[in-house]
Amino acid sequence: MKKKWTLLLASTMLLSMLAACGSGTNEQSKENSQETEDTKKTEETMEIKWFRQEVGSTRNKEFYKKIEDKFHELHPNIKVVGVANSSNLTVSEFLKTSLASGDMPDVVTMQSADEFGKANALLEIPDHIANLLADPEFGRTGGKLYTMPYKTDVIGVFYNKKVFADLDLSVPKTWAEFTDAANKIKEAKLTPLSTSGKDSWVLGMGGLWPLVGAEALNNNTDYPKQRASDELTFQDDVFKSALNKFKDWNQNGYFGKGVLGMNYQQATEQFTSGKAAMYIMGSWIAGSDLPNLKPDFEVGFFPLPSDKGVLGYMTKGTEGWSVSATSEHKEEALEFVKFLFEDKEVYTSLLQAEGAFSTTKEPVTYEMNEYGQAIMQGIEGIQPYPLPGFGLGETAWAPGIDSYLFKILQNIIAGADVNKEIEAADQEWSRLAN
Amino acid sequence: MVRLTWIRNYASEWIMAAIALFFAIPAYIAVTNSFKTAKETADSPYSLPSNFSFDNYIGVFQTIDMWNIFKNSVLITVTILLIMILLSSMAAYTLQRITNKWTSVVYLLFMAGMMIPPQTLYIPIVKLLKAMGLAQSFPGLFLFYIGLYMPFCIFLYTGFMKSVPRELDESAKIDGCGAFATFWRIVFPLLQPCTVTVIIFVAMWTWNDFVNPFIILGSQKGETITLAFYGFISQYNTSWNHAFAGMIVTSLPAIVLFAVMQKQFISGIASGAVKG
Amino acid sequence: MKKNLPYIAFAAPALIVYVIFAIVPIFLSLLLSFTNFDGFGANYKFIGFQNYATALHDDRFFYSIQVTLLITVVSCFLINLFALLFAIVLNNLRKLKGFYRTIIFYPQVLSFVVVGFIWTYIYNYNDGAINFIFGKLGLESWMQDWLGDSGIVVFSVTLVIIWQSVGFYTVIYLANLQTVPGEVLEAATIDGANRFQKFKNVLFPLMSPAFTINWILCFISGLKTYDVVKVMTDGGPGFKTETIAFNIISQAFVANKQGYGSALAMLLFVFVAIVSVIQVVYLRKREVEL
Repeated sequence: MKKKWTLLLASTMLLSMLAACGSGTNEQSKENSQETEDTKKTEETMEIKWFRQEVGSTRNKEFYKKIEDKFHELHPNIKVVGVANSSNLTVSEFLKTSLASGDMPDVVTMQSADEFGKANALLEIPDHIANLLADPEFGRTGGKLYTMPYKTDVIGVFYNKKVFADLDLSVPKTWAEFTDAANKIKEAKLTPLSTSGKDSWVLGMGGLWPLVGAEALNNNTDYPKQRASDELTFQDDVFKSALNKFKDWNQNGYFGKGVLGMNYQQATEQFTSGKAAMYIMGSWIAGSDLPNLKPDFEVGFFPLPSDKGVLGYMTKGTEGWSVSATSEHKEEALEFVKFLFEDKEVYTSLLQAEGAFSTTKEPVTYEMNEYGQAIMQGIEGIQPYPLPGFGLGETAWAPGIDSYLFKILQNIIAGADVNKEIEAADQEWSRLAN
Repeated sequence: MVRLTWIRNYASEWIMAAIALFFAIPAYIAVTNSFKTAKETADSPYSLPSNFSFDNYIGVFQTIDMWNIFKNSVLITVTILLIMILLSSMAAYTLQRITNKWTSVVYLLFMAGMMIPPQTLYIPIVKLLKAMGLAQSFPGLFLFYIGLYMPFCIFLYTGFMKSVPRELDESAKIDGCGAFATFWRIVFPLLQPCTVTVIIFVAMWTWNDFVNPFIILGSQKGETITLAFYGFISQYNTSWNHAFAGMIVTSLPAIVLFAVMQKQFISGIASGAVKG
Repeated sequence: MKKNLPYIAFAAPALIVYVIFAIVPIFLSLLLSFTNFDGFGANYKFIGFQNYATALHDDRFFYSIQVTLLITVVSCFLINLFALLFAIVLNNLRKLKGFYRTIIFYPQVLSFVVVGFIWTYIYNYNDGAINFIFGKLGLESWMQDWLGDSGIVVFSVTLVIIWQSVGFYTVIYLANLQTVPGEVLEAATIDGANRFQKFKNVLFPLMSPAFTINWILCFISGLKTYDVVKVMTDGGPGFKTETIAFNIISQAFVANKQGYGSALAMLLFVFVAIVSVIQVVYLRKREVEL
């Protein structure tokens, strides 16, 4: 009896193993035949992979599929296959790993074109496509354009109009007025500035970068460029004073309690539920349609003031579409990128999904929700200024320094000494920049 | 069987209940919130759901191409199980039965693989696969897993093998069996509890793994079920109630597998890894 | 030698695949550690031992060693303590054994994403379970920012590791307990030993095989901690929960210093190997003596 079972077990295992090996090779032979079929069909269908961020309900698979299908209709010989990163790798890690494995998608969303461009991972964008942009000279690394910035975000202070009205506050026009408003809000037992310590980029986007920007506008608009070229360091002003202001915000209790344990979603909810009166964030909030982001008060917006006054509003326009240098279908990939800009419907839908502003020669507008409208009102008559830390080319900072700086911000909130942290940041810069 | 009567018998039940409570709290949170609406999850996360709604589960299944991805996960897991059981038990047989300088060195070599965090080897492995023409392929993923799981499986099997007496090998040989037959007919069936242990661990690790298939198979073919559910927990939109529903669906198979096979699992470890 | 041929054939497939896909990558990593490869593959050159020299002065690296050792030692100690106690209690139970075993073991079965996610939710300052319970009990002063407070975040993370792993080690102790013959303890009782003596002189020594396995596995696993930290704290706040493995990945991918990251990985590898060998030798000796 036992013998029979043993035999049965052994033969089942052997068979399954053969089957498994078989299916493995089947997969391979299927792939091979697919490939030969594909090469046969080169005149017929080419496949290009498009890596884009699927973010929740607004920018989900279906949203992008419509764009992919539309392009396919116009170019029946090109099929766009969407690639999403739903693992816990960051976009950067994903791109770098796929680059190493030779699997980098043909068209990718690019947030650090300088880094990838210098490593020859991206294709240079030819002039006829670059000229679709309002400013084709913007974002070049060493004179070459490695990415097509498709949107401009605006970063500034969203505020709760009801709270301001209740506390008899007017929109702050100087740094002093801003501090004053924050103090009054704190006295009213509300959190002046919502932020998230755990998703540390929020500390940057909603704290450090606008502060550096405001300081730069006030004292030295060239600081980002000078820092990039090592002419100035973090010890020098603009950065130092900005970091000290950040420390002051924390020490004055503007961030509320439990900051370091909160994440981005919670930070946003703090604002929309009325617990925090101000939220320094970007226009992408306008693109999200999550129910918990709908405030039940009127939202306002104002640019972060500098000491002397409101000298500009922060913009970030370095996120774009790039083409991989190792793409096997370069022409088709470039064609797709061109499509993403030329097709007004597609371009507008991309902007709208992110609540962003257009970068094309002919400006594109769409109906904005309350956040977008608040922004439009808040920036009227004010000049834009590129947010420090997100430069390309001359103003590009050392890759990886932003993550390091975010950690420093966390340290400062935990009470670390600002000067020591600045020293460490400078050391890290020298290490990263060589 | 040891009965430690100094922990009075009924006290054991109370202590166990308290321990179980601590362990069960996270499960309670996940399960109850998976049946709630988003608003209720935000407002009263710790109460029982007012209406048991399966909406989250339905939403989860609708958003994901369940069948194909499930097939993917099952295919990967089952194939790896078979390969690992075969390869590691055979190798452990050699390592345990033959004791000389070489087998000791080989054993240490196998153990060395446990000493390094696998994440630090991504770039070298990925480049290696690419050089061998195995990038973005299932065979490549399987070979990667073999390298990854081999130390642990060999560790278990060599430990357990000690409890299979060599006399059996010898008597099989006297009966005229070759090495192959000796192993498959006599030794391997006796390894069953250990095999169960290996099945539980390898199945659990492979099923839950999403980073490795994603990196090695690539984003198109590499969608396993856990990856698909992780998509819910995307950086900017955490719908807790949906996420919990997704988590439960992903975790349930492994929990059930353990619950069903636990007796064998424990006896496997008892007779082998521990006694040795 | 010829006699051993079939045996070699048995081990060959496993060995070959393993060498190619585990040993060779480690070796490649070793090679990379002597370069300044940035991960992009553009231009990189051989720089000898420079990475290792840098590592010796790297405060962040040394801090990560501290963090890792703290997590590892604390978790291993507590895990083994609890696992042994749980095993004893479980063994004593008359009913619902399987049910309770599953409850202790199920965290082990969850993916690290799920674990990190649930516990982040529980640890939340404003509406996490822990603070919620403290609030309801009127113990407001006990409420903490479990993941945000630099002083306690390491312990919060360690607790999660313990919660997740204890089941595995409990099962191993349970298995060992089953092999302990009842008569041994009865004999000790007859000899007049009290509970503590029974435990210390009879039970614990008999459990030493399981203890050896558990301690080694637990320690090695602790030294490699990465996933849970990545999901729950991203190494933060600041660098407070950066483990060695986390630091390595950060250097490799964020700072674009793949060569340096590989050097750190090699250092970790040697460290784990040495520590493991020492522990195995010591514990096995102890086993034999007992």
